[in-house]
Amino acid sequence: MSIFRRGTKGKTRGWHPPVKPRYPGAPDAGALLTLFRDCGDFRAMDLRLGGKEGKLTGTLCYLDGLVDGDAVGEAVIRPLTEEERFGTAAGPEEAAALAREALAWFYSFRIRRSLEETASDLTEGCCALVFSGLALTFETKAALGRGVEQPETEKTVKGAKEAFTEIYRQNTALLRRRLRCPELKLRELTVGRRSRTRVGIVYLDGLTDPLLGEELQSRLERLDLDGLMNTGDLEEYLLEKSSPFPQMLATERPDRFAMELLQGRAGLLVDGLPLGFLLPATLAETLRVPEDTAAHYTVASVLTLLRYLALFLSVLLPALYVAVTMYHQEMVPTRLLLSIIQSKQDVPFSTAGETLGMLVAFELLQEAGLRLPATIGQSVSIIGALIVGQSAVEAKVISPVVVIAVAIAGITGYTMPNQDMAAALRLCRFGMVILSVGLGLFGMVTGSLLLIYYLCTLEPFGTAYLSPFCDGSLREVLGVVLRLPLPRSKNRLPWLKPADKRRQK
Amino acid sequence: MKRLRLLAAALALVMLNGCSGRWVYSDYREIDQMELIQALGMDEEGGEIIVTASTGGPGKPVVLRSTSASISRAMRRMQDYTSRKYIFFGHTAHLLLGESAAAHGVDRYLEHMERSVEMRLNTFLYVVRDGTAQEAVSMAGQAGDGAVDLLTSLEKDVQLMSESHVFTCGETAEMLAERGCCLAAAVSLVRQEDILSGEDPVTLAAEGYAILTEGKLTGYLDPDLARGANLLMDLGGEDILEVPDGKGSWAALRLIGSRVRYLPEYREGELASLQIRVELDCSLDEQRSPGEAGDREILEQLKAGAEQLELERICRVLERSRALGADFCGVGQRVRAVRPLAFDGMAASWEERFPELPLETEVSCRVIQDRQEG
Repeated sequence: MSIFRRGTKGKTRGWHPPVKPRYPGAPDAGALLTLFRDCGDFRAMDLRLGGKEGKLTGTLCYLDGLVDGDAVGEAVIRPLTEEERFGTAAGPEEAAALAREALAWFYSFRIRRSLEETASDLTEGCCALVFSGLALTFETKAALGRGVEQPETEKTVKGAKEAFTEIYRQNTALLRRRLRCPELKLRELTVGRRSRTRVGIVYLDGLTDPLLGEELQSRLERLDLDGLMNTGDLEEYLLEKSSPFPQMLATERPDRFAMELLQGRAGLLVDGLPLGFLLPATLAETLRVPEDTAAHYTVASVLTLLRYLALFLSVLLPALYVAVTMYHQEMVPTRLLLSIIQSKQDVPFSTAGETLGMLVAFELLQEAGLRLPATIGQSVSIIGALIVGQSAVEAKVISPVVVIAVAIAGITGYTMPNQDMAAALRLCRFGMVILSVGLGLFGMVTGSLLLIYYLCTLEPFGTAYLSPFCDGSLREVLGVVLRLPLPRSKNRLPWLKPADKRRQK
Repeated sequence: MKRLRLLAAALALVMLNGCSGRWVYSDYREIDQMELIQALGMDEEGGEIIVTASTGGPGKPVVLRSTSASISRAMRRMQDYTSRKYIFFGHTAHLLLGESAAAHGVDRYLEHMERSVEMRLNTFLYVVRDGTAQEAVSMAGQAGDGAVDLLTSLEKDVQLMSESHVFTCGETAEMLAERGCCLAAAVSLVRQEDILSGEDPVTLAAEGYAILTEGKLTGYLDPDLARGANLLMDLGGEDILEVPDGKGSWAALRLIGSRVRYLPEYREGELASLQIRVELDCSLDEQRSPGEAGDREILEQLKAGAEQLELERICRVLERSRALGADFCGVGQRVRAVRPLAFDGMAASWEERFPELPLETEVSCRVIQDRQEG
């Protein structure tokens, strides 16, 4: 018998049926102990309600570390054991009724009648008083994680200095502080069979396209995966078509998140991720930075145009260099060509080889710099630049013009405000160079056309990725490549289909 | 299905590149293996074409020569002589025609430039006066940077000093097609003493214009007359006019601008006469008698002197043009631009009418004094 099993791929496809409920049955101390068997942080203690005179005994369960010890002692154990009226309770239902009346002690408590719900509350940081067939869960979450800090990747000079954190509730609070209106809606879901990650769909009622929120909710509800841990999980599962080009904007700044909600986008907040996700994203939006609105519109417009120029240079410059030096020498001004020829003298590699090699070296250096700690990473970059940029040129291993072309492409890539976009451009750069090596300018133009075609096929949540370039009016195009004075930008972005189209008088 | 369509579209694009039958990659050549030809000389001798090519740029120029019955073959042979490097004509900036080649007709050279996949029509065209192109390309600038650098600076200088104007092959072909005659920049080989080195290397100097009639060399306009032709063609450029100041001394006027207006007079639909008005803007650069500066009488004398000088030049050019029966300055085109419909009726007979047409030429000069007060 062959050790390779044939045809299993087709048979196992879709074999991951959701089991609901995952933990059947009513709450019970014994069942919980079984469920949390071998969990070192699981604590359970018997508690007589109303003190020694009490008639009812329950089991207080919690996960150590997730709960705030003081809160458990002061807000749960103390009132339950010292408050005499709890001693009168003859059964769990009566205890629940008394607890409801004593709400002043417990700012948030729930009555759970299923083991599934009880277990879920425990993993979220609640403590549970478990009777047979019923459990009371109290919100005693410990303040884990860091406080609100400054943004790391989206630095700002004039804007707010707060960034999202890993704590979901802190993030929603940061958002509420910026949009103090009840129209700010927050639909919460739990995603991940095992991670039980809380995800919030954020939108502005009466402004965001209602279909967008519904579609987002339905896609999140359809998600059936073990855990939601990374940004990539969310993007790849939620979008119709996975692409290296970012179709969801990720921001660590609550002010930007709020700004985009006001434009008509919907947002996602995920517990454990210090980022807010906005969708749908378009190419034009990935080239925008929040600082644009802080700067004067003329400055912001020039900087935006520069970013578009950088986009083209980043993708096409090495390919253009390869194409013109290999096939279309007549296109290069004579003096420049003579200078290139002189710099290429005695270099043993072909133009194609040295350009591709240089691109690979550049990527390796970049990766080395990123993966190492900041201080060492910097040294690696400096050593790399010296070795590749100077020694290699001096040793006539590569020509300086190639170094310049690749370096310009790399630097222009860094000007992209969105790092996912920068990474996608890096991929395209390689593709374009390979096409140029084979077909010259013809290959580069073909590659550009295919790239545009591909971008046209991207439609995150029903919005064309190239909007407004592919479907907008000239005024709309100017509106994204330039920054119009704010009093003149009266309407929201039409391609987001906002329910309320106008944003100011 | 969508991917298939995409693939088919990409494949179709590749198929449409016009490189069927061989790989595009086979056209590839490394730039450091290329020899860039920047100046090309053509001579005709005994029915054979002598092609002389020179590289430019830093270092000693490489000069190659080849002979054949056709231009293409002669150029191709150069490749055989230098197997190590690829001879690339795509950067030819200057085309020199020897006197013999120009006398036989420039059409074949211009046509070759037009048909060649490598060469460009914006290549500057020169006719070597009293000499051959091979001498000009190989001997010029032997002690210096070579013919290419000489021609590059010459092309700028002649326009600056109004000694002539260097037309491109494309412009020349267009002028010949439109009016059958034109002017082309003329250069000659001269020995110029180098004060520093004490040597007297051969260099190239502007020699006015070569007159091409029906594509063949029929004569030359000396640099002095070339300035008159430039005024008629409205090509501008600077010039220094040395004129008497009426006080027994001389002054230097710098010609800083000029305009020409053609005013045809039609009677009963027929062109009866033509008035040519030339306006000059000059600045007073140098005056022998400073005490008299600003004197109105002197200024009037200077204006009159400049007007007279330029009028003479213009009249001599027009006389030459009418004597040859060749409107090489393109007067007909300028007249047509004033009233196209009226001119079109007699366009076919313009060549016959031009020598007989009553002409009235008028030159007016404005002298600007840039003297600082105080």
